[in-house]
Amino acid sequence: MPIDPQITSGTITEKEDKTATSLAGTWNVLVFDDPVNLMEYVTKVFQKVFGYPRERAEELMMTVHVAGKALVWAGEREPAELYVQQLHSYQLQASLERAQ
Amino acid sequence: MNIVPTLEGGLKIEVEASIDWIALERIASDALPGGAQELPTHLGALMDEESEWNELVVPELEELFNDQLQKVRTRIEAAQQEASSPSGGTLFILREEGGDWYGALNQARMALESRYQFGESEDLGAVKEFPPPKRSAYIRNQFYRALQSVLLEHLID
Repeated sequence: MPIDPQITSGTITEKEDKTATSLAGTWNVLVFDDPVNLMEYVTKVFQKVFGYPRERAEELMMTVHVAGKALVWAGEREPAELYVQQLHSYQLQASLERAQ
Repeated sequence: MNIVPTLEGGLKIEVEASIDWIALERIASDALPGGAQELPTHLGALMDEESEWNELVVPELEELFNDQLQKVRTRIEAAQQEASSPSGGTLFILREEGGDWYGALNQARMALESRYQFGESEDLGAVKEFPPPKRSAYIRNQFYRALQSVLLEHLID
């Protein structure tokens, strides 16, 4: 059966719209504590990945250490995913959550 | 084993006994099971389906982590071949290699932690009670951690 190009493209567009809507808004990047990563290393990673000054990076590292997790960045989904990917490449446990 | 910083911003490891080579060789073998092979999936465990993390990111991380281990293994093997005796020798870590070494050591520690669950305990009394394989792994873990601290202090900005 020949495929109706209008229906096909319409379906794809609708799916893309739904996905775009579901990913829209503000997303939080979270980093979780673990028993392996050294505190000085985590501080340096925050400085390198986010460009935070030393004091801000240390503060976030201490929040991770004491509270078990910290919100380290918030913004659009795409850059948030890139940040999580970078944090994983430095072997830090990180994830995304939609901001409330 | 002596570890000293070099004038070029790297590290020089002076191997003084064959056990030192064994300790260095264990980095990659400790890292592989719970490191390069499992760590990327473990790190992405909290990511949602929309991100397609397992399809897009995990393979890249696997390649990165395997590459770190391969570089460290190659460097150690080359230093062993150049050594004047089986119980001695010198291993240089260049400044630009600091990240790969740190990553490989971290993989080894992640893998050992995953297997033995040392936690953050520094209680030597508890360590003495560990069964021999766990005690041996704990000592290696402490050695890797100490080497990571030296790397952080001298090589990693």
